[in-house]
Amino acid sequence: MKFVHYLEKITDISIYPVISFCIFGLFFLVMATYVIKSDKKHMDENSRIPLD
Amino acid sequence: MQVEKFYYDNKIVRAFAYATVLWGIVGMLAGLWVAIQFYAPAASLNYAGTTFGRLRPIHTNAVIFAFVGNCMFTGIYYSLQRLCKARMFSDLLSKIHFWGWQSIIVLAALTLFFGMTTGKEYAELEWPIDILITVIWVVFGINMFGTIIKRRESHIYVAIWFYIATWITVAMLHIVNSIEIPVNLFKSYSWYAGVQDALVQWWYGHNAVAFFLTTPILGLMYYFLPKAANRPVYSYRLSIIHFWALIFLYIWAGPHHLLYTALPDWAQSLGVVFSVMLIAPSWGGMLNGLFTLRGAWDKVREEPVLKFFVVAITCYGMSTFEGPMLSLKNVNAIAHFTDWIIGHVHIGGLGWNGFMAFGMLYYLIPKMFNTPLYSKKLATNHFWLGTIGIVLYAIPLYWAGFTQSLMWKQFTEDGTLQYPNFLETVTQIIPMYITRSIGGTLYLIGAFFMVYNLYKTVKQGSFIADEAAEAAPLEKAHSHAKEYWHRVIERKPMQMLVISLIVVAIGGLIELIPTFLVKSNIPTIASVKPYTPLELQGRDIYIREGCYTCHSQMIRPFRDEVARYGEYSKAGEFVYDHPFQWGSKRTGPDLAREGGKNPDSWHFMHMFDPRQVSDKSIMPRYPWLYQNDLDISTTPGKIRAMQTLGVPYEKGYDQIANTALETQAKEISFGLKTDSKVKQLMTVEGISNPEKKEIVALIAYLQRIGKDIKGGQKSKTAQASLK
Repeated sequence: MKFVHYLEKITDISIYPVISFCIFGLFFLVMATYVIKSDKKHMDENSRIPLD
Repeated sequence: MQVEKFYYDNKIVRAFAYATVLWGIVGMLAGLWVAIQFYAPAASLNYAGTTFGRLRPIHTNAVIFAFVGNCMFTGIYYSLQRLCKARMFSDLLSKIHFWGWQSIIVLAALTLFFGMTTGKEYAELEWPIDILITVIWVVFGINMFGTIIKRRESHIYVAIWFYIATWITVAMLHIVNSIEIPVNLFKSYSWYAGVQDALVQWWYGHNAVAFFLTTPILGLMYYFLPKAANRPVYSYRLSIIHFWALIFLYIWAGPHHLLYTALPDWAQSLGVVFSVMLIAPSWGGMLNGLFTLRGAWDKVREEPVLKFFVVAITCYGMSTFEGPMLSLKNVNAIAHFTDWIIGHVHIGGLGWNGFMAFGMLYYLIPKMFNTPLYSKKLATNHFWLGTIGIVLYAIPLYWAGFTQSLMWKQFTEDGTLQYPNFLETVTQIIPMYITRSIGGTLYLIGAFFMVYNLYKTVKQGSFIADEAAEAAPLEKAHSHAKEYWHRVIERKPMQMLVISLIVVAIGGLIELIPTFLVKSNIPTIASVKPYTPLELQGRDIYIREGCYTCHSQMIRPFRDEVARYGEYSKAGEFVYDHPFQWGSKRTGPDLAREGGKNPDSWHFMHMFDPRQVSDKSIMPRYPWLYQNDLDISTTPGKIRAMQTLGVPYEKGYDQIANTALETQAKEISFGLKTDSKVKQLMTVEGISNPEKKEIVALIAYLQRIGKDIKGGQKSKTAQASLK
């Protein structure tokens, strides 16, 4: 059983997953860059906030 | 700089903590009661309010919104003040929030008990309560943001990000899913129909798990775990990635609740992919929690609080691994509609939410009462009882799920179903249901240990209502020119709120918009017509009694399901279903093609006492349907509401609907009276004028389900799939 007709009737349906992946990929890269480049001292300070 | 002296408000924390304990016990008791009904149907007491279909939503709402809700508020009100080094923004708003939330819980319990429900899982509450929830949620939001704004700590700690994301996302989900048209004060219809309603509902349902049961509790983990272990979180960097990746990915995964259904395939696939990706941030968070205890495992041996946290975080890891696995279509084909899902959910509910709540309470109450915990030994016993309870709860249900699913799918060599009688597959797993309820009982006994232990702790301590603290005020604006953008928003709660909303809205919009805008997503089927007035009333009784909690109305395109139930379900069949009633669990058989399968007299006898018709059936009895007169005064209003929603009843049909209703009821009643068994039952039970009773409306609905495309005209969908 296939729901092929749904896929046929939405023009360029494949764009949805592609867009999704691109958005997430970009988002993740920006986030990862920030985290990697961030200052260790700053991170350590922040992580101690609950204990202060 | 001058240090300021201020006081943390512990009274509000104590109030929420007590409410957590109270509603936890109530919710678990309701859960145990429904669990017992699986093997002892008489436990429904043959009374409407205590029947499974009404009690189960009371259980789920109580544990989710009352127990975990109050737990979340306890933790947030405690940790937010300390992380912001500020008292809550407004004591008055705190009180309004507390009493407003408790009123919602009481109203929810009462309305669900009386059968007032929207029929949408985990969003059952009727529209006036929905509005009240919105108001109280806004009060909570103002109080939370007010506190963050007046904080004395520059950086907004990661736990608060989770609180912010929780607040904004729950607001969005609640509003979108609760759009409904009121018929009267106690009844409304979902704005959406069929496939669209299903997509919105599970977008909501899945993310209610994500943003009500997960993100706020992760926030609590990031605060209370370091506090209890007296060491900072393992990696603050990882917590940042955990946060953003989790809130981004979670929102897309809703459609994994609707695999193989009539939902468009692309939406299903999107749901699967994002569900699998979700493992990464979830496990990142779990490891971050567990690694926080590196070098401190000796403390875990002695400290019950840490014991609870360790098992809670482990259960979080198990659940979030199992969830994506269940989203794979081949695994889902086995697990969906079975008790496996109930087992999975309770690893999260009992293990993650329950144990985080217990650990937090064991930590908080002694702190606020300035005394050690009354008995660590008792808390450790609670821990072990709870842990064994979880194991005894979940494993039998995994076993039951597998067993039943394999039995459903088993064919003989001749190509016929090995177990054509659904009931055979139910009686097979009764021992597992019994074991599950023993597990639940152990867990509940453990919770009673905690009640006693906390009570004694409270008695021996003295409450610090206003806890003194000191901190320097926050320095006013200084240049951030060379800082990363993220570091800037870490100081700005409103920007954090807006960015969180954008992040969570992306997934929802990409999923929902095409389903709503592209008309061809729901191919119309010419033979599908609106319900007759009597069927509509019957459908509302079906919803009121919570039939959807045990019966699905969704035949998946599998060989065994088509052989057992009939032609698989099509999107176009549900265009007039406000709300959809696909269900998520098959304790009883699917009803999508129930219409015409059994005669009216069978339904009449069956609903009165299922065991008279099917020996060993575990379905409850519904004797009140034979006594209650059908309230037909609501019919015109219901028809008008449906017309507003686009159901093509003719203009002015609301005025003549009751005539049509009475005619159909008389026809059914006339047919029933020709059956000797029915006549005998009516005489013995003193049932008169069946045409005026609710049972006739319910029979009319049951006989209609799935009939529109049965036999005669094949749908376009069916034809397309045959090509």
